[in-house]
Parts: sequence; structure tokens; C-alpha cells
Amino acid sequence: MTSPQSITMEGLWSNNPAMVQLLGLCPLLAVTGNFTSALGLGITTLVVITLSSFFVSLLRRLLHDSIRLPAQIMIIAGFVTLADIALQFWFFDLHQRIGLFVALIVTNCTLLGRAESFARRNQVAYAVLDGFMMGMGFLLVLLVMGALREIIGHGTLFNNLYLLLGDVGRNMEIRFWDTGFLLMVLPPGAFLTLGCLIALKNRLSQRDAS
Amino acid sequence: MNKPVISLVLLATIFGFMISASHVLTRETIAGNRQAFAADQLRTVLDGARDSITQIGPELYYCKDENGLTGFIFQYTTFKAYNGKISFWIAVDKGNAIRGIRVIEHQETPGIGDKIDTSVSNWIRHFDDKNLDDYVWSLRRHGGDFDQFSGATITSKAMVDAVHAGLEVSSLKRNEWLRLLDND
Repeated sequence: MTSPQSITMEGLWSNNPAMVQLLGLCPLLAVTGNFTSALGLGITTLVVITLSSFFVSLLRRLLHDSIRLPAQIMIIAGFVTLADIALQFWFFDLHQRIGLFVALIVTNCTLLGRAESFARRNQVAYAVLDGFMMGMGFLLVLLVMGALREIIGHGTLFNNLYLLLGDVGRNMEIRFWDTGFLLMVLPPGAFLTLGCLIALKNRLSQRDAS
Repeated sequence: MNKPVISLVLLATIFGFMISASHVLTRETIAGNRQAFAADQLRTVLDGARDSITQIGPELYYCKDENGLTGFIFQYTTFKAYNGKISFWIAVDKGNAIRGIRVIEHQETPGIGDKIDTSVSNWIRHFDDKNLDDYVWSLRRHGGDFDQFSGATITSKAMVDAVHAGLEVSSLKRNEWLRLLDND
């Protein structure tokens, strides 16, 4: 049952945290107003979930059942705090935009969910792959939503990407048109976009099944 | 003590150590980043001029270049806008003419009242170089010298009135601010 292929497939598609498990919706809806914020928070989440899966799996025999939840939360919170410090160190401008949601990664149920249901029951290599693929699935949904909402809402793509990439990103902005559809930038636009993605995903899965 | 408690304490110690170590290693750079960010935000009000900016009071800065004092930057806030408060930086030169206005914080309607923000519109730049004596500080439709942007008379009027009031504050307090400089 547990094979690298099935772990990859689950994280990216069949058990995708954002489109199937519907976890981590708060940051998902909040930071996908543009591509850059989505990429920044997506990568941070990916790193933290991979590290926490690694650590939880590594310590799985040492941690008594009675303390496993506080221990898992402490591991996740520890890595989130380190990621927060790292962002302030290297990407301070970006941190000013998404900083609030970095701290909230602790409460992203995807992380505790993977620690509890997968990492603590499996070997380190599988746990790391699972964390990475779940983070990747989350990141990809963030990117698709961020790109769609930025294009429709602002008429641009890759605006402010230099906050992440440095000077290379300064000329990467693509401008499609000058007026944006305001609704897409506001919270309802996030729900609409996610709803459409989930519908599309279910349609494709149904077609595969039949 | 039983084993679970010990392992939890150990784990907390490890993470506590890792976090405090990275805090100690990074705090100076982060404090520098924070200052640079604040200075960059403040500098946008001067539109790229390379004056050095020094804080002399709460939300009050003076600017100078190689020839000495070039003016002041201070914060002003109005509550008469369409929705909540608008806070902005005003940069004035030595003769109390405006060098620039930049809105820091507002909750005006996106798409309508948010044209006070330079990321949306250049409207705010039409205050540049204006002073108290040579202009009538009200909207054109009320017989003044200032354009409004369409659909948002209340926001436009609030900004014109607030900038006007800010300039009067700066004119009244000019001597007090100059004394602060002498004390430095």
C-alpha cells in the first residue's frame, strides 16, 4: 500500500490537502491575492511540513503515546518559529506582507494531520516524502489560485516577484490588461476560485473512475 | 520522573536552544532590515531624493542634504474620510511648500476611494509644490484649486482639508521643530 508512487499521488492529487482534505484554508484564502505571496507562503509551508514530518518520524519510537500530540505540536511550532526568523533574515519585505500567516502555519491542520496519521507510523524516508508531497500539493494549489486571482483581479502576473527572487524578478511582471475584476481580489474571489478548482478536480477524478 | 515527561522536556530544550541560537545569530541583521524597511517607506514620500532622514520626535523627521536642512516629514491623520481614518506622511520644504504626500493607512472603498494610494493612482502627487498662501484649499467644485477624483467627493475633500490642516500645523510648529534641531 505504502509506496513512493502512492504517496506522491496522494499528496499531489487524490488526497490533496487543499482540494480534498480542505485543510489550511485560512492561509489558502488569505495569501492567494497574488502570485508572489502565494509562492512565499507555499514554500515556507512546504519546508516546515517536510522538516516536521522528518522529525516526528525520527522520534516516533522515543515519544510515548501519551505525549505525542504536545510533542508533535512543539516540533511544528519550533520549525515554524525558525522559518519565521529565516524569512525576516533573508526576505524582510516579503515577511511584511505574509508574516501574519507564517505564524499561523502552526494551526494549519495539514501539518498536524500528516504528523499524526502518517509520519509517526512510517519510516523516515516515507515520512519525508509524504511531507514533501503534501506540501507540494498545497503549494501547487496556492500557485494556481494566486495566478488566477492576480490575472483576473489585477490584470498582472508575477507582480513584486523581486521580493522573493531579488533583482532577477524585477522585470518579470506580465501585464495583461489595466483594469482588474475587483471581486477576485476580495475574499469572495478566493472562495469562488477554490470552489471552481474543487469542482474541476472532482470532475476529472470522476471521469477517471468511470 | 517518568519517561514521557523527560522526553517532552528534552524536546522542548532542543527546540528552545535552536530558536534562541538562531534569534541571537540573526537579531542584528533583522533589526537592520526593519530600519531599512521603515526608512524606505519614509523615503518614498521624497520620491527618491537622497536626503538623509533623522527622527527628532514621534512621527517627526527632518531632512538634510549636503547644504543643510531641506525640510521636515511628519505624520498627519484625518477621520473625516468615507470610512475610518486616513494616515499619511507629509514632506514639506523650508518654505513650507509640499514636497510629497504618501498615504500610509486607509480603508477607503477599493476601486473608488483608494485612488489616494500611489499604487492605484497618481492623484496624490497633485499636492506636490503647493503651499498655504498661493492656493485656495478646497475642491474645484467648491471654488478651490484642487481636483477631485470621480466618484469620491468625500474622500477627496477629506484629503484636501487634511493636507491643508497639516500644512497649518507645520507652519505653526515650525519654530518649535527648529528648536528641537538646535538641541541635537
